[in-house]
Amino acid sequence: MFYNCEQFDFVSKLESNWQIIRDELTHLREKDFIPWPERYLYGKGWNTFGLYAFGVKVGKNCTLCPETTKLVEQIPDLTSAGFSVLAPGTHIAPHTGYPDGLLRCHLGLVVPEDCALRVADQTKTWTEGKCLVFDDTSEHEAWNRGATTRVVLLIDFKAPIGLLPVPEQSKQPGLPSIFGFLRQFKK
Amino acid sequence: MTDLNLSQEPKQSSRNREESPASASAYVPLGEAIKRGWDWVVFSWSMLQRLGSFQEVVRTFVTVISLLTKRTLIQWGLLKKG
Repeated sequence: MFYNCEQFDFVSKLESNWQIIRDELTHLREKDFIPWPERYLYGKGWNTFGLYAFGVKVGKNCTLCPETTKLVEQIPDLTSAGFSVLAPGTHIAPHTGYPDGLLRCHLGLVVPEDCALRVADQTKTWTEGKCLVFDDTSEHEAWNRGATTRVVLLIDFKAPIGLLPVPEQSKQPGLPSIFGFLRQFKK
Repeated sequence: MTDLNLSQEPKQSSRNREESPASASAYVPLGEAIKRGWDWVVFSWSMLQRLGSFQEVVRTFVTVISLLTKRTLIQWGLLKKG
């Protein structure tokens, strides 16, 4: 689901400085961007430029975008931040994020026509200089059927207490199941 | 003019739009799981090269190990979340 952006104080600061952020983006080179590793979701055409990744500062990238870095560092409980670039014709298949109590914010920077984001049963388009905040653990997908590249500033931050539903226990096979299996022997 | 080409001609993604998108929860064969894991290794290596100085790399390594340890302890029920 999408959230009302007005309930997050940092949104207005980002939106009022969006052109500074876009200006720094335009000075980056194509080789500064790295393809997102989950290629099975999109094939090719989704590239990223990380400033913070899972709480870790990406120093060289932050040096290239000092004003954007200053802005994102003011966001409470920031975990990840960076530019997300979607080439024309790219479709990120439906997927869900990791249940770590995070919310995701997209600040539209370069938004062609005919690109959109679906979260659960709601589909929205980005607007340049405006934010969208959504629950990354809801099923979502994104596409760019426009003629040019779409770029957003992507931010992950810890959701304020009580805002997110309590995540269900994982029912998928994998490490949690193995640990559960081992715990049976411990008893 | 920007160095980053923001106005490139449309190129069709290798995944056809009409194709049914891959489901993240579908069964994943071992070979595909290894390939996916390898993509994360390549991504992590690329990010590592952009961290900055050697001290930054060491600090990051320690941070990541402590995060993974904490996560594992929470998963085992030996540590409370929060």
